Amino acid sequence: MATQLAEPAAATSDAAASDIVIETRSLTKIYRDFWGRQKVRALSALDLQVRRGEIFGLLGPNGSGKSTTIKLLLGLLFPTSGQALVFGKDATEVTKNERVGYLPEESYLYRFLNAEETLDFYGRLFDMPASVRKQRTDELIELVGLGWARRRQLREYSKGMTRRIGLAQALINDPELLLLDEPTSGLDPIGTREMKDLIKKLRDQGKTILMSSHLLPDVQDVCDRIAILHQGELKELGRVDELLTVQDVAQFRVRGLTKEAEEEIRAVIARHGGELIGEVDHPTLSLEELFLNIVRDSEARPGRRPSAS
Amino acid sequence: MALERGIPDYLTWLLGDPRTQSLFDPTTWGFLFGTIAICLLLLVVGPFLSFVITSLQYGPSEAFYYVARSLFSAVTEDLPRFSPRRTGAIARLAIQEAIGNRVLVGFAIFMLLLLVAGLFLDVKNSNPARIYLSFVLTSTNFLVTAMALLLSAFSLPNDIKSRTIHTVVTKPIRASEIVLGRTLGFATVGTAMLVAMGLVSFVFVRRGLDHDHQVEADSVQIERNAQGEVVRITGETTLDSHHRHTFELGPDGKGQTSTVQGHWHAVERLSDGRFRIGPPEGHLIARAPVYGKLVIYDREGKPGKGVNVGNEWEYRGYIEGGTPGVSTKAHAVWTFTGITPEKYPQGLPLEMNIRVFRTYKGDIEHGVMGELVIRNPNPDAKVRRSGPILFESKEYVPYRRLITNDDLVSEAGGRAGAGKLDLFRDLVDNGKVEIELRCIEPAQYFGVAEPDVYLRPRDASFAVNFFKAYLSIWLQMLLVTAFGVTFSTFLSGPVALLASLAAIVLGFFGQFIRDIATGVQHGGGPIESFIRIITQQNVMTELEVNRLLDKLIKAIDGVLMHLLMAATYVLPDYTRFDTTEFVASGYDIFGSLVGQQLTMAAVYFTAVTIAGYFFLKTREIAA
Repeated sequence: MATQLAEPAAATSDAAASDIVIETRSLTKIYRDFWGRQKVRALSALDLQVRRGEIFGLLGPNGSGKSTTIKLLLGLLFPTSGQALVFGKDATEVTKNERVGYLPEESYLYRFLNAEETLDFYGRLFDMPASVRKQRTDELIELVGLGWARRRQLREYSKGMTRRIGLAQALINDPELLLLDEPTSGLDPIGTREMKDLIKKLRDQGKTILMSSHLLPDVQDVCDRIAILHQGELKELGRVDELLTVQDVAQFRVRGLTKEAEEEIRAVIARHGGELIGEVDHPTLSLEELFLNIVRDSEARPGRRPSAS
Repeated sequence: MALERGIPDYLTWLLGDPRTQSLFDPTTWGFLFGTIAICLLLLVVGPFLSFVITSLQYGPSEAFYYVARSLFSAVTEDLPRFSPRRTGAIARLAIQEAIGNRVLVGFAIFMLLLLVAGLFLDVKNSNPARIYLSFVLTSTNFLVTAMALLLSAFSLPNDIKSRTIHTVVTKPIRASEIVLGRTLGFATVGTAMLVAMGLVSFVFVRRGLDHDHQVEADSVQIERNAQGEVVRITGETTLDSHHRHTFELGPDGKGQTSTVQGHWHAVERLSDGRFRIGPPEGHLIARAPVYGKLVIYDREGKPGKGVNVGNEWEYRGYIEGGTPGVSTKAHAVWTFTGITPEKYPQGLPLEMNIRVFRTYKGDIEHGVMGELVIRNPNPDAKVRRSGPILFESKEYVPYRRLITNDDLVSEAGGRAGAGKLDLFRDLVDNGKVEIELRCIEPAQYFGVAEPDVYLRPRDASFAVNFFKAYLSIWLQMLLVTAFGVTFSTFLSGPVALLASLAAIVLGFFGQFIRDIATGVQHGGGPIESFIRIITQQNVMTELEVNRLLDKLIKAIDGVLMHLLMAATYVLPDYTRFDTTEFVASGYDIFGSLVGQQLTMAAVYFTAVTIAGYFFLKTREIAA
């Protein structure tokens, strides 16, 4: 399988570097107990680069390090070793937040506020003047389709509605980079479709999106590139279409053959005058199949993927 | 009101008394010097501890970089980019959160207390105004402090626990804005509650003490002269609000009642022969005393501290009674300054609250006799002293006397010869005058302290004094909130609550803790006292445990007590914010004390908020 790996930081050209929005260098996070003893190694020497304008998916089972990676990128956690850079700045720097939007896993919002108050509050945190806040609030409430519930307290919202207002707050500053933690969780099929369309639309507007999910069809539908994490280690990294292509198997799709000809199809398609549809193709796995293969393989042979290290 | 210690003037408090100040005795330092010393200490200790803790995880070089970057970015990044709008947003959120958390329950409890106050307040007390004022101020103080404590200690930990803070700190907001915004938000809620409670309390006290009397018709006695003109009218009022007054009117038909339960009424006889009794007066007052400097002279006439009559406050000395200059020379002299005819046109309005110590019972119906002498402080003055003015001591009740020229007779045998004296011409020198006090009954004693004798030229506004008391509560609430928020930046809610509570206890009982640590108070530290309590051992006996254990307990207690003692020097002295006694006793809260409170609040608020900022900034929010 072909993979597109993160290149060493030192080798990155200046032009490419300016295009890199997120970069992690041997990013490691170890959780310790009160006495400083190692409790769990949540992330091991992760090297990643996310480029401007792409949708990058972090994929992995529960406890694989997806959320830890996002929290490290947001400065909510401090790395045990290695570096997390966002827009070339250390992830703990507050100024980078001016260009970042974050949708947390559970839309952790103040439930005593209504939708308008919520967006107004987050707008104030970006030091926006009142007129801009008002305009952005109206736009975003319409965008996420909550115009009918804009004055209702969030405690009265369903989970889907909370996700929508959560996304709206992530977009309040019209960010260049969006970090979405499980963006489609809790949404119904229509909501999921709308969320995925919105993510693509945001990408088309030039925004960079890093999303984590364990809903494989969602990732397959929207992501340009993915990284698969398992037990804190990077197992696979590359373009989704390339990762899903099975390179060592050829596939022919034909039409109009007689029953007799079907017996000899593999050897003599051309000689029997059959019509070959399209080019020679390779079969693809579903992302779910790929994911499960990697997890099984990782569990059978623990350790980091040699090519990703 | 008995002031345990005199209130130093603002500059003495701030800079220290140059006469007693010693570099090696922190208790003599002024507030400014102490603040600078503690800040310098914390500036060294804070980063060093941070370096040590970080070194354990990341190694010394990374730790140095980490600490240096935190300090550097505080000045280069966070301070210049501080945003009032973001701070305001957090404050606003805190207010909405507080309202959502049913903070108004506190106000409801207060209203309920006022409604049922009649059931437990002693309305028959000799000074009901004192009871009413103490009650409203104490309950307000308690409720507002409890509210500030609960709101501030749990808010941030709840945000961290529910992770709502993740959507906040991932915005371009600084830790300083979060800490300050939270504190200001809760302080705003506390302010609103305090204003509401203050207004309700003011009305409650005024209405609660307001009452009417009628004249008991049968009690009225009219004295007339030979021409049939009215010379004097006396009588009694009806029994209302658990008391009645006697009254006396002059020939003009005007006068006032006797003072009962701390108040009196104006009485007027109308032209139709009926009487009109005015509203109660004199119970809601704010005396504005002018204090002098006290020197106590012992029985030999030498300056000293006075006689110690037992377990009394250190600041109060006793002077022995006896025939002045014959059996004892003990006396006390107060020197007053700024005495001008413009300020004191009627004379010297003297008020005294001296203590009396009887070595024998004597006539218990009468007070011990004393004498006052007005003295000229200038040794070369023609008239050095007035003749003695006799008075009968009153205990626990202020003794008031306006000393006019009529009271001033020159001392027999004096250089000026017997005759009338003029206060300002003969006895005041450059605005200074001395008042000498003696006890003239042998074997009885007067206890005196500097604030016991003062001049009372005019009173301050009671309403303003009431406001000042609420200002004290407000400042205390502000500090409690700031401490609560700061503790909550690195502790969980319940632990932050306990820490804030401990800070309040240490602040209120600092002197007691210092006394235990230095052995002035008996009973031992936390472990020893705990053992004494559960084994019911007297505090004055040796602890009944084996010698080794005794030593171990005392060693641990010693360390703990000295740590606590150190903490009492760092934490605010909350007793400075307790002004209930001033208002309840009818004394104006000194401007100097208000100045001290404002300075302390500003310094502690700033220091604690900065500490909270560093704690939050260096904390892993999602850990």
